[in-house]
Amino acid sequence: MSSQLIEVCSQVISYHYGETSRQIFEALARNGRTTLETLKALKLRKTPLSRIKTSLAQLIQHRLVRHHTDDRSDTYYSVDWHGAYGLLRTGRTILLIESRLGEKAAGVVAMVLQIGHCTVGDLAGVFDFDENGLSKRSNGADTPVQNGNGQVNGDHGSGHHDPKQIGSLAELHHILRKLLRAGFLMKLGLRSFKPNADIEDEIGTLVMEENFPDGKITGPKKQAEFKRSVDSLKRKWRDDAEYSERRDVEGGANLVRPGMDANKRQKLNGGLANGHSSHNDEADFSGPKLPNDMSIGVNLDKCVVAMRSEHLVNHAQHYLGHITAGVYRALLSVLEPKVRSVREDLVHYDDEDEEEEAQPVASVMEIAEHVDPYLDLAAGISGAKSHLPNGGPKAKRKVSIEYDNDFGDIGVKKEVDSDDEGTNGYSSMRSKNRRLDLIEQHLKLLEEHDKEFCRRPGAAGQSEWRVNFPVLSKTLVDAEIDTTIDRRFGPAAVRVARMLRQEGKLEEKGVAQKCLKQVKDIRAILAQMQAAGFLESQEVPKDQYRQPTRSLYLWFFDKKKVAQLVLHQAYQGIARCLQRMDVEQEKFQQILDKRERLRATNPDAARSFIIGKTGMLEEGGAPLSGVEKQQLALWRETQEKLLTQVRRLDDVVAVMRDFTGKDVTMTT
Amino acid sequence: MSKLSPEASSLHEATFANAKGSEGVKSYAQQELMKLSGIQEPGELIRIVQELVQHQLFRTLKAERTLYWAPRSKEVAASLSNLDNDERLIYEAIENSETTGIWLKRLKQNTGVAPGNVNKIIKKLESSQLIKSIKSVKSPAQRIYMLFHLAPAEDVTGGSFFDSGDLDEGLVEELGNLIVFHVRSQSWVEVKPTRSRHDRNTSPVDVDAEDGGKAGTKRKRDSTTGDDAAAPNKRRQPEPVITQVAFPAGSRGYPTADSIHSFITNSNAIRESKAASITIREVQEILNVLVWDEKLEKVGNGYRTVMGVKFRPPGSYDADGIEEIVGNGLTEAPCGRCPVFDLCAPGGPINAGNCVYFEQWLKA
Repeated sequence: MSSQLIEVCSQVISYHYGETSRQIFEALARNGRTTLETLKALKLRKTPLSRIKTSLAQLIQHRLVRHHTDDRSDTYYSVDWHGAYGLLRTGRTILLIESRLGEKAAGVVAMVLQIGHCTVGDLAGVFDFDENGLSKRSNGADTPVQNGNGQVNGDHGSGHHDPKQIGSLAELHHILRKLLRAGFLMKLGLRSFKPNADIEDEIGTLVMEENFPDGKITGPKKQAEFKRSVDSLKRKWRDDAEYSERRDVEGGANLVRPGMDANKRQKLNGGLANGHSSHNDEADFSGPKLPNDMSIGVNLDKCVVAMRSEHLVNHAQHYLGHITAGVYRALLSVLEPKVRSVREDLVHYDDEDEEEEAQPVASVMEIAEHVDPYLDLAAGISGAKSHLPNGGPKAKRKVSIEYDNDFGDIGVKKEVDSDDEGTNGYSSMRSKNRRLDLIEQHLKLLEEHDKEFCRRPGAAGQSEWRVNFPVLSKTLVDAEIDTTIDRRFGPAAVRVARMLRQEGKLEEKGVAQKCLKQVKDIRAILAQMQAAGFLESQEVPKDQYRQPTRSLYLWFFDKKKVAQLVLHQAYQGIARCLQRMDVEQEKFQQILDKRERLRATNPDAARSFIIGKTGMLEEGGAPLSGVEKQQLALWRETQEKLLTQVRRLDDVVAVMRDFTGKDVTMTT
Repeated sequence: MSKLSPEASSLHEATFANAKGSEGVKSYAQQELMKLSGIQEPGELIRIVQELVQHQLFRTLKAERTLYWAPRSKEVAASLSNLDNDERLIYEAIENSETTGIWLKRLKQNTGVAPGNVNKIIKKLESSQLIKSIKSVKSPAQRIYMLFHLAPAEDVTGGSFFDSGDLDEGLVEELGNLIVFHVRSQSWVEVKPTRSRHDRNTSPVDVDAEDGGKAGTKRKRDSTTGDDAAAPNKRRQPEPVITQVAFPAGSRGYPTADSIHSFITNSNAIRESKAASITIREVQEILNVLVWDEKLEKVGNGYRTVMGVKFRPPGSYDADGIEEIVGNGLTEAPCGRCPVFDLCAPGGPINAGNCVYFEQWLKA
């Protein structure tokens, strides 16, 4: 594992959990899995064992360290990279959930994040509902829902019952089920705390015992068979560990009728994604309860899926405008619940076609439910008005100025029309058809684009659409690399990079010729990029003496290497930003200390917490005066600037590492 | 030297007239010469051909065990007959290189003429206007010679974009610009932003923009919060102004390399002689570059400009282009463009604490 990533993770951990935890994490990260004794002997001789144990427990509680006890009852500890890096994303995870499932759900997730993992019963206990399942708390000050953190600490005296607050036990369970179904929360079992490598070992041993009693897997045929059974067992275990409405819900038998289940699901999903039903206070929270002893934790992989959707939508918007991108957003949000995780590392595909076949599909009807009803669909495509519901594209291509004017009128008129129709419930079948038709038109535009934002699987499913995520993820990686090159070396360098990516290996003169640039300019660019590690050159000797002057140099673009390079630079960037924050904090330490003291002496003062961009807690509203407040504001500004930067660097990391799901550098 | 026989003279005229129409060097095999001259007797023909070769009016070429003969003009032949053996060797070597020309060094190697002599001979041939020196794009440093009356081949000159061996970047750029103009007008429906006027009065973003200096920081914060909270308060954000509307998918009217080529050659934008020499392949080269620059994108068989790419009026300086580039998190942070990034480590001589770039960046 790269030292940059270790730096990032330990920085974040020290921020959240203190110095001992950081030391433990760093020791484990650098030395690999070890037992407690070795850990102490290695790095932490001066730290009392009890403190190490407490910190270790804390790290395990937050799923940053996994453990495995072997046959000789030695317990080995190893770090969970995804969990540790995920700490950086907590803030954005909460915001994502808020935008998809509403503020209450986000509040619940914030609570779970705060305590690492917990059982349903514990979580319900925090809310302090009375026997009827209603909140005991009286109305109080209006504070944002993220104050859930305050409630966990229990020092938040004044409760309240506003629409943003979870009112009853039934509602809590309802929200939890929603989150589990959407995959933002996940069920945790004993295996969730074991390192992946050990689970794999265990599976291997099991398969060996059951299917290959002679203990031999020699020969390609047997090995393939072994691999297959290992994969199927892995999948079975994973499916078992996953939340299922039928299995995990108390009295789940009620739900077995498939028709009802599907209806309900559609209703919930349809309304919620657009954030409509969060206003619906009279929502029906009836439904089965979750068992109190079920452990839950936040699933950060699912958030990566959501982040990927956001990136794709932005990408589409860049090329096709916000209206088409809006339709794309809808398509992606239909697909999102159907995508298990970006890390589909257990399934092996024989070729790319098969891999694409495995991607989920969405029908136009589903997509239509998710499209923002205010989006003026007709404005995005030329001649959309003359397009009849069941006719072919009537719009004739006619480029003239009168046509433009004509269209401008149409655009405005159309908007009025759609306002009249209202947002829900269509006046007629015809207008509904028209809407579907327009959506299909936008989808076709997306399909037609060079980047193939979506696809129609075969001629049979005319109204079904799928997105080829693996290919698009690579497109996103390329785009990110290009942006980096653009900013660092200028537009000419991007031209060279794209050209070499397409053409393969070329000699200096060939590069200049293809790029229509002077050789001497190209030479400068090539050298600069090579020095920075963005280009590679291969030496091809012309004669047997291999003289450098008599050799050809073929230039090429090593995509994998560059992606890794950018990723590690992003890690380092994050680490530096966080380190700088510590340095900056020292400058303001005096004022921050004073605020702390004020808080200590005046515990009654109202405390409000705000979750910063990266999920780190900030506290506001302490009584300070004049210059001090200015100082504090300055500190906040610096902090915000750095945290925003971290968030944007994290974007780069997500694109480079997480979206393809092929990255194995962080597997435990 | 004896006078040319009338049969030989007539054969030379016939072949010379025949060769004139065709491009490059036209050569004739025995059968063709028989047809042209009407002489069926091989011995007779050989005599005539030999006579012509002696008079320098024919040169002999050999390919796959067959002999071919190519006619020379009488003037060339006349000056050739004044040359001595070495000079003729050099001339023939240059002649054989045809429109690609031959490098001086290669000339010395191939002919076996004493190197000191070669330079002298070259000078003499040049002054008598039999050969000329040309510059090749592939190897600008080499001295390359070819026959005086021939025009260098395209791979030597580099094609229309090259001006005496140098790439005419200005031409390429302006042609690219012209293509963007043309393609944009053909591939998008331009909409006058009628609704935007209404928006402009109400939108908070534009108000910010008016109070100048502060706008930068405010805008920045706006955009960062906007990203995160995209979905729930989407309504509050002003709708982006639509100026370009796409044609429906499946439209097949997008400009192709072919149509762009005919647009350029008919547009009067470039000199007529230049316009005539530009080939479709060269247009395709510019199109490729524009695609790599993300100015054009391929749709079906044709091209469409990437949304938002604008035509730059000729002569204007591309000043606002720099502002439009939005970097990513990496390049915006001081680290992304740090010259000593690789040396930076906690506890090292360069670290996040004493970083001067961070200092500047945080104050900005």
